[in-house]
Amino acid sequence: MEKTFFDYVSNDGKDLVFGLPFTEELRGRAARLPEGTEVCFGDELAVKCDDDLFLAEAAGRLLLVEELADESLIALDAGKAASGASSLPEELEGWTADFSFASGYVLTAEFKAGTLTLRPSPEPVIANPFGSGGALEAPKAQAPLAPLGTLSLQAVKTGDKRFLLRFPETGEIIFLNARRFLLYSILRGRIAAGFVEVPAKE
Amino acid sequence: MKPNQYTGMLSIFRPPLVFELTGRHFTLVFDDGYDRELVFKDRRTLAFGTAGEEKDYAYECLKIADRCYFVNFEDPALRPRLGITLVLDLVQDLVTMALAHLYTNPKIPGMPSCDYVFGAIRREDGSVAELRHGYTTELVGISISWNYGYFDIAHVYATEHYYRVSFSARGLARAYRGRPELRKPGGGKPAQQDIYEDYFTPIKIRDRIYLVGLLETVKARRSGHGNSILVLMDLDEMHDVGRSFGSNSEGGNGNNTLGAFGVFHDASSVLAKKSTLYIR
Repeated sequence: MEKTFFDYVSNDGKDLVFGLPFTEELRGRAARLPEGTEVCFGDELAVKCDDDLFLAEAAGRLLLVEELADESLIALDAGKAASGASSLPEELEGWTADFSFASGYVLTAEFKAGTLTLRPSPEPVIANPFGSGGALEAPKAQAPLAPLGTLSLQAVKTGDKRFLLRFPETGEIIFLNARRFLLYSILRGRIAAGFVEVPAKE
Repeated sequence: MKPNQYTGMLSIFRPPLVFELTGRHFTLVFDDGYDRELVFKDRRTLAFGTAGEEKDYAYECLKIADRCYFVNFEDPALRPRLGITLVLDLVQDLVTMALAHLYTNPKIPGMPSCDYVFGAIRREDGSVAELRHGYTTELVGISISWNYGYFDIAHVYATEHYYRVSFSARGLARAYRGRPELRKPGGGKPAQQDIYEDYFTPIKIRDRIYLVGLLETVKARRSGHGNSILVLMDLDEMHDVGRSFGSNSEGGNGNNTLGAFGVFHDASSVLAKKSTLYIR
């Protein structure tokens, strides 16, 4: 059986996936879908992804719900929105970043030509400066490790630095909030969160 | 691709603000003998104080777990400064208040301090729980490396009263990439001492959820400025929310909410060292 995105990021389920609390802010409210229908929220699993944005599982679909300035809600069927994408958004094409969905397990992700290649991020080799008193060597550059696998990827930009990622083979959907370098999903019935390693400040 | 800029070094991974308490009103029964009213008037403003003496504050609310909230506010005009943080636990109807002080120390005005007041939330039927959040030893010996985005730091919970600081190899490597001057002799953290150690207050909120207070008093003794850091952590989900309250050498006054992802860190070498800062 093909490995899923969840399998990769959780080290085949061996590592603890980061979680976040569910939000109650959608409870009792309704969101408009593009086709003109409404979805009403009760106790559905939902996570807040930004001050004005939510990911919610409702009626068998994963919805990206945005709150407008007047506090009304609009929703997008995340799977449908991403599945129409034929190429990666410009910002993602060729992007390589380290990210982590599970405590202590960091992967290097390379976005290229409709695929996501994942490889383990090598643990840096560096001396601890405490008590050394001397000059420290620069972290040694390490050769990239062999890829764990490559997944087909569809991605769509939903706003400034906001992207929906969909893996067509498994239907798994991830929301990337690149404003904060955070990742959100609802995978296997639970909220899963992750982060992208922030580049060092110049 | 780069993330947006946010206030404070520790704020980029902070989860979104939580507005779900808007419109709620609580009566908080504290063990200091004063009941306080708490009203979330809208998404930005709350009223807090003893009945009839409530004041409006701009607030930020974060959520760590099911019905467990971290609410942070301060009157920005008040001197000496008083930072108020409430941990509202609506599962057990309990509250813990942290009161952080600055500019109260006559010799080192930038020396932070923090007091804790325990209490309960009056229920709709008028009853009040007897249970309280409480001081704990459960974290002693544990170390967690927290990734705040631009900054990684390992907090080593050395004893029930003191924490130490360490860094993971990944955190150090990232810091050195951004600040090569740290690699020069004496450019990093002080090599004249083996550890940084300071005051620690661990409080258990519920299973696997802890509120920890970390003071930077040694830093303040040396530089005149330090922070009171308050972190509410969930060790099942391995993330935290919190705030850093203090001042800096540029005259800035910070009270910034924060968030991080954690990984358990092997700090056995740091734990094995004898304290050079506190008599044991």
